[in-house]
Amino acid sequence: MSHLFYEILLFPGIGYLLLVSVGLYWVFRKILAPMHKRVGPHFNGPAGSFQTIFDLSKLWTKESITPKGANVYLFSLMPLITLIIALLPTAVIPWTPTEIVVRSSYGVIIFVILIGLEPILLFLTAFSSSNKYALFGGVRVLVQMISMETAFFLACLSPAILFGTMNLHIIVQDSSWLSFAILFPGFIIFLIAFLGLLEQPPFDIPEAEQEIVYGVYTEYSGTNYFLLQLTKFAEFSILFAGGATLFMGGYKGIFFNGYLFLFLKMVFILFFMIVLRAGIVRITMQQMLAFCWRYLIVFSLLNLAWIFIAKALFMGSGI
Amino acid sequence: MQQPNRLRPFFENITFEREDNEAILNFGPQHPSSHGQLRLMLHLQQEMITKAHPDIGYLHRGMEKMAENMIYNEFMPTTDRMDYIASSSNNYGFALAVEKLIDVKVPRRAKVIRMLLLEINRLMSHLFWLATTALDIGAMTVFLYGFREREYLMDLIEDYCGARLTHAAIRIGGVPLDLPDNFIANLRKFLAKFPQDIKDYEDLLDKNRIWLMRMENVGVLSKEMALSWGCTGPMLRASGIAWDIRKEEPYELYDEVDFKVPVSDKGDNYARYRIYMQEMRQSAHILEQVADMYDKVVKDNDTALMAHSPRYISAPKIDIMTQNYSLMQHFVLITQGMRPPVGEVYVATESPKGELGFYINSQGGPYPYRLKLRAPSFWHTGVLTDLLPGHYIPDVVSIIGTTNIVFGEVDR
Repeated sequence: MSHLFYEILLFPGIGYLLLVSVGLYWVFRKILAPMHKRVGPHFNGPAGSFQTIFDLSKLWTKESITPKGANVYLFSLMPLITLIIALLPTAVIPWTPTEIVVRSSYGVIIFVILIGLEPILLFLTAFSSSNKYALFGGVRVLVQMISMETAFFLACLSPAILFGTMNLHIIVQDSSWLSFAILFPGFIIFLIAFLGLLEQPPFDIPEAEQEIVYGVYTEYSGTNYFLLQLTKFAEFSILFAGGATLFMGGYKGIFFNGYLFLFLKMVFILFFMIVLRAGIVRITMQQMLAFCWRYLIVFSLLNLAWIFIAKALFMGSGI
Repeated sequence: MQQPNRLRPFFENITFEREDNEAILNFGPQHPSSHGQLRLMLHLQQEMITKAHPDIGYLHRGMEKMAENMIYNEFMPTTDRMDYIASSSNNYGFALAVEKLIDVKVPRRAKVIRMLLLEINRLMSHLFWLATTALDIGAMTVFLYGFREREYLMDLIEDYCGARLTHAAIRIGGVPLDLPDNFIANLRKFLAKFPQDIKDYEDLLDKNRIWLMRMENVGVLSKEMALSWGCTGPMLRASGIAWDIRKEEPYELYDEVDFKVPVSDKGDNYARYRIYMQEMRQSAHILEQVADMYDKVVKDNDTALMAHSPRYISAPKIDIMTQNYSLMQHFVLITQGMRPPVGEVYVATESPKGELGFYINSQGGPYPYRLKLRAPSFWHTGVLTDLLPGHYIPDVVSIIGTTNIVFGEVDR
């Protein structure tokens, strides 16, 4: 029982996840800054590493304004629910060879569905704030969800098909260099789709600051906004960890297995995201839809076919 | 016909249950990409704009009326606040108009310094344009890069006049100060590295397919539309009309320098972007030539900075301090102001954003009887009415970006 509390509160639960989210966000800012010829966070803590904590604590203590005409309960409740839903997938991810909270045979499904719930909740936050910009943002979130999640699901399905199981623990244990090579097309599709899910450039359409003023977040301030930001950070780390687990062999390392390698893989995916962010501009909704349905989903279906063939050829088993 | 009553609303033409699925979005005046205080009323079908109505006046300061209660020299710092991205251009336009009214001849050294200031301002304005437009479309990196180079130019201007944004560095009849030491050397250092910087921006943007997708065939301004809306400057040149006042009616020393006027006949966002990039190259080219001119002026020992015209312009400081008549004249000019002859004048200059015109009507008094400002951005804001319908919300941002409107100038 006490072990369960340890898991919920510390590792890999709330405490760990918040710490790693904040840490990854600091890495994010620190890597992005030199690409912009800036310094990035500098003053608070060693190399500015406390800056994100300070930012969040500032948001935490600020006044939270509920606009007139908003649905008060929905408006105040949604940030909390989104945060809880965003933290849940941590239970199914094998963080270390021994540490996995829920040893389920349906890990992939749980992971994918909990990630897929997030946009709907975001739309509800937009819907409750009764603001046109927020509503546009919410509609954009939904449109992006429908197109991006199809590709995301199909990409997440490929390791499950290859290894013949949905148990994330077994997927990690069975993974090898060969499986990484086979899953590589799927990994690319996963990376593109997860940019869409996380609303990162070039797919930061739902929260385009210059167009619809952060979309769903327009009316949020103070503690509620803090919760929403935290949701996003948590979702970042969960998706990085999910990608590393599904495609790159999770905690498996070169000389020994351990959490360190999972973390390095997460930073690698983060680095990919940052480079794209620094070098690319935002696309429009129409272009995103065209890209998604004309290319991305077609390729993810082809990828599934490739996985079936590869499984028969290389993994030495029939379908 | 029924008379609409002022106290009771006139409901005859208003339908309350609309089935047309139209949303009206209030875009601005406080919006991250409204470039100041632009308010756009957008009628939307889903995200497509059916009707756009720009609403201006949120930054109105009544400059034209203010000018009627100021002596001519007093008005100079106010012109800084028009197009605050390139203040010296406004200073210069006003100074040139008054100089034409009082008919004085500006010494060559002052002309060279003015040319330097004008072109540095053009570069500053274009860099600012590039940075903000890139940010509007989502390129954070280009935004910071553009501001870095602009910072260098602002440092140059600060060396010259002490101010970075509102320069007031040009006087009626010349310039107040000579260039500081190292100014030309620093400028040359900048010009040596600037072509590489422009290439950096182009590498980041032109080779980016998404940038092309966002810019090409968006916001197409046809030649006829550009003419009928009174567009000038890069907007007009991107629509296929090679009109540059620096070439057509050369003022200052523009007939002595060699530069090209870039033209495109596409008229879309991308054409305007290309025009701005090429104009930056041309400006750098002009600056190189003007820097050489300054060296020549120094060699010729041509030191006069203000025109000699005792009726209108104060004598040099050394004369004021030593000669009685100059002191008296200076006192009168400062307390009462110059009194230009009766007459009216319109002078247009090519500011970074287009034709910047000053109309002055003088009745012989120390204050202008009427001063009218023709600011290019004002006309470019009007084009949005025709340009926006049929586009989607993300394109609104890029179109506002490439029209390059500055609200200090629109609202005046």
